Amino acid sequence: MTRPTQRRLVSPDWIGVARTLLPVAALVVSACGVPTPDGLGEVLPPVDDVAIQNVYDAVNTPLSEEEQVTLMNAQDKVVEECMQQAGYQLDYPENTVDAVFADRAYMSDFESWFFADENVAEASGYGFTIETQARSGPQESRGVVVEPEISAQEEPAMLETFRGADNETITLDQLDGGTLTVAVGGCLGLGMRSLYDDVEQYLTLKDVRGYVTNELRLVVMDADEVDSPLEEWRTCMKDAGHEFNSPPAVLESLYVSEADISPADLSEREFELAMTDAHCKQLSQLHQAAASAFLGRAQDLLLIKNAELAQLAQIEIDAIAKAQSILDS
Amino acid sequence: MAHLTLDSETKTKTRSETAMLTSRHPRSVRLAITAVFLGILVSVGLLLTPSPASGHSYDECNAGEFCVFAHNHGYLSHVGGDWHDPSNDDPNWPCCGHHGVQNDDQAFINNETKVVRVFDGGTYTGGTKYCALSGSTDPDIPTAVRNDGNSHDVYTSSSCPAGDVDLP
Repeated sequence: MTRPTQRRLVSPDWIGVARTLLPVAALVVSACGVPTPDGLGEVLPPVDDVAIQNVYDAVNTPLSEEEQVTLMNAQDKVVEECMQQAGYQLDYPENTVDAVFADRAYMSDFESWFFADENVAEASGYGFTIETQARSGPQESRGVVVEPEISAQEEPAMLETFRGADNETITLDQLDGGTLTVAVGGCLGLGMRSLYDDVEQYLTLKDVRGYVTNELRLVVMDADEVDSPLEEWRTCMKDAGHEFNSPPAVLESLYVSEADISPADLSEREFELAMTDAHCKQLSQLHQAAASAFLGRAQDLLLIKNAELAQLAQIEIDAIAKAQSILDS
Repeated sequence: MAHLTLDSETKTKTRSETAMLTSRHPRSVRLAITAVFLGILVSVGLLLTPSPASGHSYDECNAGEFCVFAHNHGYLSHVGGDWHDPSNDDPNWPCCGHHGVQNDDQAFINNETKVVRVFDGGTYTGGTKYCALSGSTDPDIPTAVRNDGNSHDVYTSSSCPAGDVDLP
């Protein structure tokens, strides 16, 4: 009597082969990805928007736009009063969210790596045209600074009152290897201390944030895992008639003045580029490779710098109460 | 190659003129003409040699000015010029390479009583690359943001927004 099941296991029929190889295939797929529909490469995991947002939250200031403006207005008030006590009129116009963050809806070069939604591209391009029509521009949206009317001979004394003597500076050895010298004396120093107490500590921690931010800005372009998708993206863009080295370069090409191109033509170019860019990202999976590179580096950086970033965030949060007290007085 | 050709031609002319001078002109005239030719030679040499005096130092950035330098440590590009911007925003930095700072902003000094926000794109677009505190000097702008500034806004405050170095 023959046992069918045994015969099936040793039989070379396709069902048996598939059953035997399925677990192995699954491992291969999870480790290496699967072919894309066009058969040119592997499928990368989708962009993890939540993970990227978590990185932003850990690195960025925890303050809202309104709170950031509150800090600026408070420091300005302290500086103004200090200068007036010394006999100099220096009046800053009130900072507003609209004026300070007039450029906020513009896509940054960093964000451009992740821009891959073809529907968004078709509906609003990169958002430039819409934003340009909506904003009034930084110059028009605020007043001017009333500065002391003094002679050239009086300038050194006025500047010393404003920011202290030449030796009242802090020189920071920045994490990227450079140095930054900042005046921390005079009325300016008083303004900073009124919010942050230990200005040197505050500026040192700001440098940490700047370093982490800049590292993350660079990592995508420098990552090996991005090389191949980037090359595919370039080819795709070139085939569509647009030759660019990287997504940020596409944005850069749109930063032109109205003297060079009419707004209508610029808008048309923006939408054409945005749709092609998004399409080529989908084909090349460049945005996914970029996200993977970004998150990998971010994990390493945050492991080392998270404590300092959190300390800076707390200093900024603490400064809000002080700022409010200054503005209320 | 171009300057070698020029040198060669100049030398040929000089030899030929010198031969004429020795045979047909009095000593005083020969000296005068020789001086003229020496002057020409010196001028050609100066034209062919880059002049270090074409840079500008931090000291030239006066009170009330924001200065960007196209090379590290206080030297401006030689054609970008004395690129201070005493009191105004600049929506379009001088472009490019040796002729400006758009692709070569490597150092800054801010002698304004205000902060200066430098943007990636022209007309204050593309996000803030960096914000220069009043009274600050950076002889070596971080690699990630240098060579990217295309416009700047002399912002009417004594401080930068806390989020100016943020990721988007």
